[in-house]
Amino acid sequence: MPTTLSPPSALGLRWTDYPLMDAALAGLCVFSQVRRPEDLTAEHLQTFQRWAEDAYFSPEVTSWISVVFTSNFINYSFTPAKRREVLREILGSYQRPGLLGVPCAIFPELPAQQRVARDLMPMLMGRGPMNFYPDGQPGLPLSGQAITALQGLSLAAPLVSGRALVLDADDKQLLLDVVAEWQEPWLKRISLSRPGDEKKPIWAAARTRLMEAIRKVIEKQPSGRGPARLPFAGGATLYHLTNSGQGPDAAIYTLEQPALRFMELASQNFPGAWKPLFDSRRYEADKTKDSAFGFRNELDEALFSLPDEAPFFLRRYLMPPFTQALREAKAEARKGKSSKKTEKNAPPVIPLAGLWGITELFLMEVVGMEKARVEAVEALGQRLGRWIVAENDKRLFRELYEARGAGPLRHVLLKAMLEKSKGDAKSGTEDRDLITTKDEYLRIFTEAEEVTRADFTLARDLLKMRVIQYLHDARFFEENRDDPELQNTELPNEEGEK
Amino acid sequence: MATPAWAGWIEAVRALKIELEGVTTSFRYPHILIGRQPSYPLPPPATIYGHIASTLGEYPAPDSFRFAYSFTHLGSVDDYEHTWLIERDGRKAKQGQPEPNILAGLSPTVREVLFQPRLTLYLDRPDWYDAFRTPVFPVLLGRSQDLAAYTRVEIVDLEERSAGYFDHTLLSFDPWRPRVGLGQGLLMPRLIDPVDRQRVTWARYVALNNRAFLPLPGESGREPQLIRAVPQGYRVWVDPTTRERRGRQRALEWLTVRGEGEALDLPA
Repeated sequence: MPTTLSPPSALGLRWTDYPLMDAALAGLCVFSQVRRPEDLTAEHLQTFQRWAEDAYFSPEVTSWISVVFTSNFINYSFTPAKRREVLREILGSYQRPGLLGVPCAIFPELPAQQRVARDLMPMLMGRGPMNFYPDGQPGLPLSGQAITALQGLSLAAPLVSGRALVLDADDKQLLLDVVAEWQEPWLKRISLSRPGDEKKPIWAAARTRLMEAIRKVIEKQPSGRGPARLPFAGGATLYHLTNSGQGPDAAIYTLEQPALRFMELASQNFPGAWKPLFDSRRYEADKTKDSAFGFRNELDEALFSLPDEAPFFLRRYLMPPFTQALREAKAEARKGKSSKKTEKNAPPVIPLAGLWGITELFLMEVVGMEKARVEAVEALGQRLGRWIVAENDKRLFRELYEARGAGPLRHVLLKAMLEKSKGDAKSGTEDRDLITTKDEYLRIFTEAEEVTRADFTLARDLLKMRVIQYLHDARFFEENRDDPELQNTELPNEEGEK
Repeated sequence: MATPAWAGWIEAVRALKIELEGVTTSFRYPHILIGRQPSYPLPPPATIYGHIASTLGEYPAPDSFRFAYSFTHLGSVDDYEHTWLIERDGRKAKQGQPEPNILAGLSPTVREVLFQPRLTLYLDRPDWYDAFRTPVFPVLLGRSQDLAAYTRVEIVDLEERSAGYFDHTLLSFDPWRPRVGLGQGLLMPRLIDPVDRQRVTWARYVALNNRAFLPLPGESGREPQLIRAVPQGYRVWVDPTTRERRGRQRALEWLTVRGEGEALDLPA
């Protein structure tokens, strides 16, 4: 993983770990078809310069510049010759010496050439303000190489929803590969941009764009890679920035590796359930957005909230197909009254067995739930499901389904335990298994100190999902579709949920 | 490659442990100065250095201490604040008027604020106990208005164990990144030279916003919380007063703010 710093080349460029600079360097590397910034030569920068002197005046890049660099040379108050001269000066900064007498803030081994402001390095302040700089000296001292290299952002940070999309990856190989995925269509878009053209549909949905690119990177890996191995280490951070004078802003999204592994393993191991689940969360681009780079996938975007928001993820994305099984039973019961519209709007069917596999994967890969605990949930869910089917106990199912807090849930379990024990005693059956035991309950719902687990809601919802899956497989809902008790069963809202 | 901070840690098993609580804090990204100012999820080493200096009343030599910490907060929120942007006033003096000095303009800024921060700071300097009992300057964490308080200052005897857990802390990028699945890779200011404040040393870390467990002997698994391997020669020092989780207690990752290290460790 090339993350540590390496010796400078003749130009003095190298990975720096500064997100903006490394993204810009990746743009230059991909454009120049080299794998390391150290391999960038003056000839490469000259080729970039020739491209930029033309492309920077296309409407596409003009818009991009106003968002990323706020450079006033694109203003029409300048003559075309003057504008080109200013651009040449910026792009050729690397050819001029650094005589400022202080080191470059990004490449400290190089002398700084000038103190720059937000027109040359995004997200800094303007040229005047001295706050936030040491010794009251406005601007960040940068070398000529750094100033030129930052222009490489035009090759690496496409405009998505009106902001620059800047990737910072722990593994520089991932950074290069993703930038390569973005650069080709981005340059194509720029090459088709002509003055006077109608505004093109925009790229949108920043997080989806990154996930799409990562999937393409993974697909291109040679086969034979282990199923649990990603071709890169660590995670990534997405900086979605606008340096525009109209309203600068910065949003930062973190993608941790467990979320990536989960996505990759779910699509590999359970394609039959993953694909419809994934597709059900896709929202096509409207006419203002590019059809290939404007759609949004809610599931992709939610991966950035993991693992912190795991209970929410489970409840919002993995649980609904289970509850849908119940809804289908209700819809079936109302069929006489229902119209074709209901069927048309029904979400795609997602096989529950595969979805339970995805859920288990989620618990292992993202939540980090111990295997024994997952197995305990599975076993309890199965026993409860079997009891509900055997007794056709719709009330018990309803109470379980609607239980929100630890108290009501315990009440349901105790009730089931008691009923089953009484039933077993009466029938004299050999099958005298308890629905649950104290140890099993503690393993699933509490920690060592016997306080309710912080992730109680997660365990509770898992249990409900497993019971529903069992009942669904046993055709419990179909057989009880006319039952009013089942008709009125609704999942309770969590606090803060609408 | 620089010598890792922990390599020289052999005998010192006594540590100063400080617990701090505040209402708000924010650790801004140094180069995002306009629009929204997001916060790092954890305090950078340079912030810890400044914090220690404010307690001692002077900057200790950067190589005179090592630190480890655990930092949590209850959530983050965007707050709206006014920043006075100050510029030199280059205008000429009017007759009879004093020479113009500075201009200040009000600029509304959105800042990400972390709510109810809790910092447990460990220092390999038990001799600073008295200083932390009677800090020279008001106790702050983050911005100058982020008042905080030490709720406990004590000396703990660390114990060497075969495993432990890293708990909401910074880990050195090298060697931990390939071994730890959780956490965000981040470049952070490690040291702002107190004499020449233009000299800033940066280093990349893994900001761990969860717990990651060092494996017990023979333990392996796919859980994201489980660290895949421990660097050769790594000695696990745990705080035996911390809560036990999965048969382990909090392990300390010792960091330094020294000027050398991977960020500036370049061949001449």
